Amino acid sequence: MQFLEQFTLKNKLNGVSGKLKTLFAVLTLLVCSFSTTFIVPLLVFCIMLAFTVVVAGIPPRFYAKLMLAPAGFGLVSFVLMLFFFGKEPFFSIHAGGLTLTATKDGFDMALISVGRMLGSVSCLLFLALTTPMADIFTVLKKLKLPDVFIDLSMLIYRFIVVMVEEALRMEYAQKMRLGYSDVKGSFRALSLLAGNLFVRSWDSADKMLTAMNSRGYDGIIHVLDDESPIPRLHLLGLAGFELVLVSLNLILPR
Amino acid sequence: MHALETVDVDFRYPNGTHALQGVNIKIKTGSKIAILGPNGAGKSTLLYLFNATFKPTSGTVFLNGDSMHYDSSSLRSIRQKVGIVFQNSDEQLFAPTVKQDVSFGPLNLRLSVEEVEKRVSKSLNMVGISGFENLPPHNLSTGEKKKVAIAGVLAMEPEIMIFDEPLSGLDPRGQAELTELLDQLNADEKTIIVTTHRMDFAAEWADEIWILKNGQVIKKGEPNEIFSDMSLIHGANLQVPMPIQTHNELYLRGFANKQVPLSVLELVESVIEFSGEDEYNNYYALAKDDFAPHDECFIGFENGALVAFPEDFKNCFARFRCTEQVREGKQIPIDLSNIPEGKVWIVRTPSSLEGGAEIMLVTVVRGLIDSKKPHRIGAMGTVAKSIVKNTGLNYDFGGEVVNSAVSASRRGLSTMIFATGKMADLAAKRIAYLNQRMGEEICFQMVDEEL
Repeated sequence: MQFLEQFTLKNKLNGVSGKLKTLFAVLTLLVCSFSTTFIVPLLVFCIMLAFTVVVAGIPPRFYAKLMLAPAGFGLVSFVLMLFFFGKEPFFSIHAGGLTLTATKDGFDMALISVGRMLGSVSCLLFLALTTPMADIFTVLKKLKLPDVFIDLSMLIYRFIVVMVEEALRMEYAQKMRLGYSDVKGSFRALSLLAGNLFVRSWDSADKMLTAMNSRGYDGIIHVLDDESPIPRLHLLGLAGFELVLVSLNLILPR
Repeated sequence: MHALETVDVDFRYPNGTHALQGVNIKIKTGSKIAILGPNGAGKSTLLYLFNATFKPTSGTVFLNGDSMHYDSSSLRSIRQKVGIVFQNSDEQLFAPTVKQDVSFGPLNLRLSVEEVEKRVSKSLNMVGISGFENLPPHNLSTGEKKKVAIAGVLAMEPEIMIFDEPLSGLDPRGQAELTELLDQLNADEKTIIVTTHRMDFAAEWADEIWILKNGQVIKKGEPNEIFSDMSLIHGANLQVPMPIQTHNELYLRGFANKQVPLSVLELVESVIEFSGEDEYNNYYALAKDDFAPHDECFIGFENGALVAFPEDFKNCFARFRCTEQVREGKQIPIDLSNIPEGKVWIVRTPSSLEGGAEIMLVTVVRGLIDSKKPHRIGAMGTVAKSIVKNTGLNYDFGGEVVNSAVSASRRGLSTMIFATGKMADLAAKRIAYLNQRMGEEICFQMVDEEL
């Protein structure tokens, strides 16, 4: 089973502080989504792409696959905005007695929104592909999010995998006995699987609580976090980078 | 002194199942205990009572002579002293990374971060996990997950460690490693309690066995006592271990003495002692070289045929001295009364490795092996194993090390055992015990080199 997660555990940016990577992705994402020019988001896209594929060494094919869905969505939005938003005529297409008129302000809007979208997605992909979940939880803790929220996310993160594995095992067991051979049977098998999975999850949650209690669980999950600080130089570099992006926004024409 | 004791303990689940009925158990401090019984006998329930996860419906559980209380501060101290490793590691490991999971217990004991860091790396070292600290548990194999689960309990430094079905789901090598880890923990003066369905393991490993059935103790005793009672064993849906089964057959047909063997080694000794060593039928091996009288000769199987080489080789299982001139390609008679003495050396290694110490050790270990020239190398415990590996050698015996070494010595091959910390004493004790049981003297020697 290929989870995105496998890449976070083995990429060339593993040595870099997880906190730094999270800050880098999130701050850039913010700057990108508030940009007033399409140049900054496109720049962000290129930089993030370079960081993810070239620096971190994520296989380009895999990255392209992940990008495909948002890019397709972006293309559709671009066309829609170009032709159906705005007032100022730009150019027209005549096709089979139909006239489609693109608008100038629609074009600008399309450029900015699609740019922002691509930039933001590339930020999130950078985070998802290079930063282990444990590091992200540490950042969330540092941000003083409620313990319940963090504890729950940690447990969900761990048990999603356990549950998926369990579900796959059940599915194989069903398929082995021709569980999904026709439509009606598929529905029946799927409903059995879902019900069974629920009961088993309940059961294993119970057992896990017993196991946690036996190690002195007191209602809050205490675990060791990575306390190493972000190197000053990296922090300065990050601040400089974000400043450049913001000032580009101010200098470049809207 | 008893580490744990239950007096007239009854336990009923909320759904009415009467899981334990008037259970009286005493567990000696520092012993190795196996609890056997059919499915549904109440074994797991009993374990939960030992750790105060469940409170008995009636009766009392004593920990180190004091009756258990169930308020939150008592619970914390009980759970620090009595750790449970669950059967399914996936239900025990919950944190995003291995290191975080192991740190959970000690942090709940309100220890300082430095202390917790120290304990985490110490316990991970002890179970032989390194390089996985920052991985999520689902990236590990079943055996590795089990080890992490053990490290998580170990980091709380309990006096008593309880394992529910520790061997289930592990491959043979994993089982051997785990058995050894249990011995290592016991050598560090921890009381170890396991439940298991593996009879051969229970027979060989445990000091004392308790058998539960339908929520009651039906028998307790030492392994040889327990397993010589056939009707009891079958009545409890259990099975007699292979060596004992084989021994019974041989004994009833007049080919073995009466002593109950707990391992293959003891079984073989029992048969040999009975039949006498002169009774060996002479047999022959194919000489792969020229041999003169008094030459050393190593025999073993190659492609199904018994062959003799003048030097040790991979499949060699015995060494003896030639009595006559034999040319290459001829049959060489094997005279088993002419087996030279196989020695056993026990070398104590440190119980933990500080950085850098390993490089120095490698030279010492190499020197030892070069001077004593053992035919086989054994390694007990994670540190000893890693030292031997770092020397660039492979150990021949990694599980059941002492039995294998004693067996080899009876076949003329000498073994050097590297044992981690207190496991060296354990190995020496074990050899002395086997000597006494077999009525034979295996020459063994503690090597007191400063390692």
